[in-house]
Amino acid sequence: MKRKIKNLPKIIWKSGILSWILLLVIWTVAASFQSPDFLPGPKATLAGLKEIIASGVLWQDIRISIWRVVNGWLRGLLIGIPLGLLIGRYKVARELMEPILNFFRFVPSIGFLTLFLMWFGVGEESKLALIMYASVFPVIINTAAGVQRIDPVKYQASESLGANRFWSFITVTIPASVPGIFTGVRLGLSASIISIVGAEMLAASDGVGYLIYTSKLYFRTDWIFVGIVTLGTLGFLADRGLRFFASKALKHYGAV
Amino acid sequence: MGKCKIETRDLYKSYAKCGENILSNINIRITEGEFHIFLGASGCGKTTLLNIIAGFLKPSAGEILVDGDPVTGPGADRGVVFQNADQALFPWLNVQRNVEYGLRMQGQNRKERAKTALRSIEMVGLGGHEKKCPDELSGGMKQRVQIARSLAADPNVLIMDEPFGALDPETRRGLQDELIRIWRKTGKTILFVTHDISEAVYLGQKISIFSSSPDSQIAEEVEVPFSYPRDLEDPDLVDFTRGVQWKLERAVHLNHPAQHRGPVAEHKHDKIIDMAV
Repeated sequence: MKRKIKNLPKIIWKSGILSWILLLVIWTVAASFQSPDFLPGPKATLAGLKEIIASGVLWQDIRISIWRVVNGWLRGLLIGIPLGLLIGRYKVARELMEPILNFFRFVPSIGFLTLFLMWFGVGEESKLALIMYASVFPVIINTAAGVQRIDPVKYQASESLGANRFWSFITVTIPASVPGIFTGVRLGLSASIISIVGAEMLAASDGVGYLIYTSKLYFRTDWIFVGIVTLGTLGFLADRGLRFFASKALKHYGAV
Repeated sequence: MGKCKIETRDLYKSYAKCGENILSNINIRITEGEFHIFLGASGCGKTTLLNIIAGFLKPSAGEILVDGDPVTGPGADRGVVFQNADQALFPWLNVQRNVEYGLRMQGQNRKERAKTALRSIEMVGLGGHEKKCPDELSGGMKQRVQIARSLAADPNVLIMDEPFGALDPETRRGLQDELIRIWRKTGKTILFVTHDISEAVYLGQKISIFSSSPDSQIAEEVEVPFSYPRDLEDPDLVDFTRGVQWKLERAVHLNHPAQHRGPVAEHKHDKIIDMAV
């Protein structure tokens, strides 16, 4: 028991809870100088939160946003990981794709908003395309970087054990690039969450991004804060979840 | 004389097109079943020659034949045990799967694979560890996994690049003894690179002594006329080792006369070498 108490400061420090307390303090202090319509403090935000939860809108919005993020993100992975593997492994693919990648990765997804609406309609497809677009670049780039970090000795080992090029790709390139792929998966997810606001701002009637956007129309600054806190929390939890998964399932791949 | 296993003919290697040669005029013949050592100072090109024989590098000129056939690339007939097990093993596979890798590439089924793999794991003394992953093993155990992995694929030649260089002396001695035992049991041709003279004379039947690069050559080939197991304390072997050491020193200075330690020292060396050999 005594030992536990002795370790308590360390546990608190490691849990990261102090960062949250610090953030709350700064937020409270800053808000106390302003009117709650301009900058609502934690208390006002909490009141707003209760209000939207009670109306049932928030859960609806969260659910639809999560669905969109996960859907668009998975599509990004489906395209990004194989492309990244090829670009990382084969010089031809790299030289062909690199200029294109380095052009489009500087065009933010929001720049395509109107185009995607025109091409894919106002339904779900345009939003998913936007999220996919946002997530695919970090996935490609980090996967390719992960492939290029593979120690050439691994290939030598596999080839001197009888693997041909195809099998060394399957049995060395893919598993050995898991750390890079995983970084891409994480950054792709955060890019997806970031892009959801843009996707839901113009062409949606629900979702957390829509909540943030429309709250402005009602002068409900506290609801905007609820939306911001929700997105941050979702992202934080999702990243934690991914890292937890990796620490269990991908331990021997050196992903975490 | 047994059958010739590995042969190089007038082999040259330089990395740049017009650069100086790393290896120059290499002619070796390694007999089947021989335990052959490449001995040389660091950076003398012995690992380069090893990589050429393994098929990872192409010679700039000359021929390399294994079993009479020219080497065109890496292949399962030449198993390689790398210097750094962390680089060479597949950390996402457990010990058994690592050892099975070569058999999987040969298309063997799961059952056959497991049987052969377990036999190799047993042979290197890792029985009971087959379900562990490489990151749970010590450095010496990882090298044992590498040896088991190469043996399981049943290569004709086992190529080893300073495999015990990073191990503590005790582990190293244990693995050297183990390697001799495995070599005598399997009758494989072993090609072993080292810069450690006592390791060379403890293990090898023949020692190729490399001069320094550039233009590294095999300055001398020495036969080790001692039976196994050897005792490094044996006065005859101590004398022999000293002789090899002088030969190595002479070889290192072969291409760099400016670094000679003076005529007196060299004269002395020659005399004692004659006594020793």
